[in-house]
Amino acid sequence: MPLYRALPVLSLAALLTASTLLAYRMHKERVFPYPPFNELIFNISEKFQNLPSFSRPLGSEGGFRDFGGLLLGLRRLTADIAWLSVLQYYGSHEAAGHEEDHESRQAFGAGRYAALKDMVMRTVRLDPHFHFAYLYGAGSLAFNLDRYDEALELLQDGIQRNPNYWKFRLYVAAIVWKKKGEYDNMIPLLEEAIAYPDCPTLVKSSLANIHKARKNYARALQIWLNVLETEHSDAVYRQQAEDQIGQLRGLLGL
Amino acid sequence: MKLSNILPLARYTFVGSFRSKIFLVLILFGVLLLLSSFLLSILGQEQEIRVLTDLGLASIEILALFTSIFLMVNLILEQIEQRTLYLVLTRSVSRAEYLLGNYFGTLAAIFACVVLMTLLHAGILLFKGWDIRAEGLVYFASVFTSFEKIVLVSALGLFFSIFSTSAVSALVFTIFLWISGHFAVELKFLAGRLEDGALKTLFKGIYYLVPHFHYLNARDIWISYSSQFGRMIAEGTLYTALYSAAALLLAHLSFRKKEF
Amino acid sequence: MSSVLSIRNLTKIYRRSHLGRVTATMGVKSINLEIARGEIMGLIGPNGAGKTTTLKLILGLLNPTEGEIYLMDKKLPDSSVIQKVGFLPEVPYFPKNFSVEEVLYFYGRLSGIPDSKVRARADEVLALVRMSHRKTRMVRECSKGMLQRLSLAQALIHDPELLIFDEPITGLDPVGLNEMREMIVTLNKSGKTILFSSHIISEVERIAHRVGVMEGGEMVQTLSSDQWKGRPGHLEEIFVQTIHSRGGLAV
Repeated sequence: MPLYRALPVLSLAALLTASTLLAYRMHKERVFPYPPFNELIFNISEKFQNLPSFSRPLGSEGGFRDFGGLLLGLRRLTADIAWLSVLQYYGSHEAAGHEEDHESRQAFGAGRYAALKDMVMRTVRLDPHFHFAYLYGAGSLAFNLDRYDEALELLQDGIQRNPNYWKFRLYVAAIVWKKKGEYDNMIPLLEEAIAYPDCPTLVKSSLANIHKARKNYARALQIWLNVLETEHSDAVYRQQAEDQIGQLRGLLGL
Repeated sequence: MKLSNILPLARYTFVGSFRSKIFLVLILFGVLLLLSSFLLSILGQEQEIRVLTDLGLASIEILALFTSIFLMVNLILEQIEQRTLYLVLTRSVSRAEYLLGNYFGTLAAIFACVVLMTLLHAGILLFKGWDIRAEGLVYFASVFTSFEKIVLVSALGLFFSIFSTSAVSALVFTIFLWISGHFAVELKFLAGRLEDGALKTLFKGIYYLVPHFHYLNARDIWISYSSQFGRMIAEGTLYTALYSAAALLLAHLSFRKKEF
Repeated sequence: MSSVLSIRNLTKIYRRSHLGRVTATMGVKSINLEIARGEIMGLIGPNGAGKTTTLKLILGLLNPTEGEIYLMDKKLPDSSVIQKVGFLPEVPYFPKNFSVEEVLYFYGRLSGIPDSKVRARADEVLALVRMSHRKTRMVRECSKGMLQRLSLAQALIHDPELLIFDEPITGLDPVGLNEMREMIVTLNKSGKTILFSSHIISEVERIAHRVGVMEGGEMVQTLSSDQWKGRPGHLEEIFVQTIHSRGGLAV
C-alpha cells in the first residue's frame, strides 16, 4: 500500500493514541472530586414507607433523577434541584400521619422534618462542595430543631469532604456548646460565623432570637437590621426581620 | 486541502442554518428556557445566583447539544437525500473539504447561538447582582469547555451519520457517547471494584476510549482544582482537538469512498 | 480534433450487502468512448440502460469497478481537471433558503472564481439564461422552469470546457424545450463540448453530432449524425431495431 493511502489510517491511530494518553494522564494526575455514584442517596422515602404517599417528605423520591443528572453531566444542577427539594420540604407544612402539624403552620421550620438531614445529605452527595447546604442543614437541625447529633453528623461529612473549608469547624464548636447549654461559649462563635457573607440567614436569625431571649435587645436589633439589609431573596425572612425590628425597637423604647 | 473551498462551504452552511426555521425555533426555545430559569431560580432563595448560574449553563449546553446533534446528524444525510451535494462534489472540492466546510459552518452557527445565549444569561445574572469579578472567569471558562464538548460531540455525530447512513442510529450512538462520556469516571470506578477479568478490561477499555466529557465540565470541577485551572483548560482543549480530529478523520474515511 | 473525454473499458458493478448477503448488479460494462473537442454527444437508451451511471462515473459520484476515464488527458479522479466540467443534473436541487444570486455566488466560489469577480460572472450567466430580473428571488419561490435555468447557470458559472447534462430536456414544456435546444446549440457554437443523456430521441436527433446507444449497461452502438441527417425519425428506427435485436425492452 503506498504511504499516502495509509496516511489517514496512520493519522487516525496517532490521534486516538494521543487522546487516550492524554486522558490517562489527566486521570492519573487528578482525583475526580466527587464521590462515586453508588454513594448517592436514592431512597429517603424508604424510611417513610408506613406513611401515605401524600405525607412522605416532599421531593424525597428523586434518586433516579439524581442518577440521570450525573449521566447527562449536570451534577451541580442536579444538586441544586435536590437543594430546592430541601427548601420546599423544610418550608412546607409538615403532615404527621394523617394529621396536620399545626405548629408548622405558625412558624417556618417549626415542624419535625424527620428527613431533613437525609435530604441535605442527598444534596451534598451530589455536590460535596455545596458548602451552603451543609451550613444551612446543620444550622436548621441544631438551632431550630435541636437535633445536635444529626447536625454534627452532617458537618463531619462536610469536613471530611472539604478539609480546607474551616467554617464547618466553627459551626461544630458552636453546636457542641449549644448542646451542652453553654450559651456564653456558643454566642461568640456564632457572632464570628454571621460575619461571613456566606452565612445562611437562618443562623443570623437564630442568633438574633438567642440574644432576644437573653434580653440583649440591642444586639438582636442590629442582627435583624443586617438581615433586612442583606437578605433580598426570601420574603419570609424579610417579613420576620421587619416584625422583629418593630418589636425590639418597642422593647428598647426607640 | 484548500481553505478557499472550505470557507465558502462553511459560510454557506452557517447562513443556511440561520435561515432554517428549526434552528430559529431552537434559539427561541433557548431564550425562553433562560427566561424561565430567571423565575425558577427565585426558589433557591439565598442560593438564587448559584441556581440561576447552574440552570443557565446547563440550558446553554443542552440546547447547544440538541442543536448540534440535530444539525450534524442530518447535515450530510439531508444533502445526500436532496442531492444538493451533487453540485458540490462534481466541482474541484475534495470530500475532506466538503466535510470540513459543513462541519465548521454548522459549528459556527452553534457557536453564535451559544454566544447569544451566554450574553443573555450573563445579563440576567448581572441584573440579579452577580459578582462577575469573582466568578466571571469560571463562568466563561465553563461556557468555553461546554462548547468544547459540543465541538467533540458534533464530530462524533457527523461520523456516525456518515457511517450508519441513518439519522436515528446516528442520534442514538451520539447520545450514547454523550452519556457514557460523562459516566466514564464511574465506569473506571466499576472496573476497580471488579475482579481481574474480561469485564474489568472491557470497562477500563471503554473508560479510556469514550470521550472524557467529565474533564470538560469546568463548572463542576473547578472548585477542586482552582490552582490548576489554566492547565486544565489547556489540557481539555488539546484533548478536544485530538479527539475531534480523530472523529473527523473517521468520518472522512467513511465518506471518501461513498457513492451517490 | 483532440479528445476531451476518453473512457476505456469502464465497468461498474454495484455491490450491496444486506445481512451478510452480497448482491451484485451490473451498472455498466466495458464502455469505451471518445468525445472530441467541440462535439455534442448524446447518450440514448431505455431507463436503466446505464446512461446516468456513466455520467456519474465521469463526475466522480461513483467509483469504477474497472477501467479508466481520462479527461483532457488526465486520469480521473483529478480535482484540477474536474474544474473544467459543468454538470446539469436531471432534477435541479438547491437549498431553499438562498436567493438565486446567492446560489450562484456559492457555486462560483467553489469553482475557484475569486470573491471579487464572482458577482460579475454571476450576472453574466444570469443574463445568458435570462434570469437577471429574478436574481433576488428565493429558490423556494422559483418555478420549475426558473430552477432549470438556475441549474444551467450554475453549470456555466465557471466557464467549463465540457458540459455534462443529465436528461436536460425531460419534463420541459414546448417553450422550455425549444430554449434548451437553442442553448445547447449556442453553447456548442461558443466552443463547449457537450455530453448529454436523454431518451427523447427526436430531440437528440436534432442536436447531437454523435450518439451512443446504451442498453443493459453496454454501449451497443455509436452513430454519427451522417447516419440520420436529413431523414427525420431514422435515428429512432435505428434505436428501436438495435434494442429489439438484443432482445431488450421496447421503448
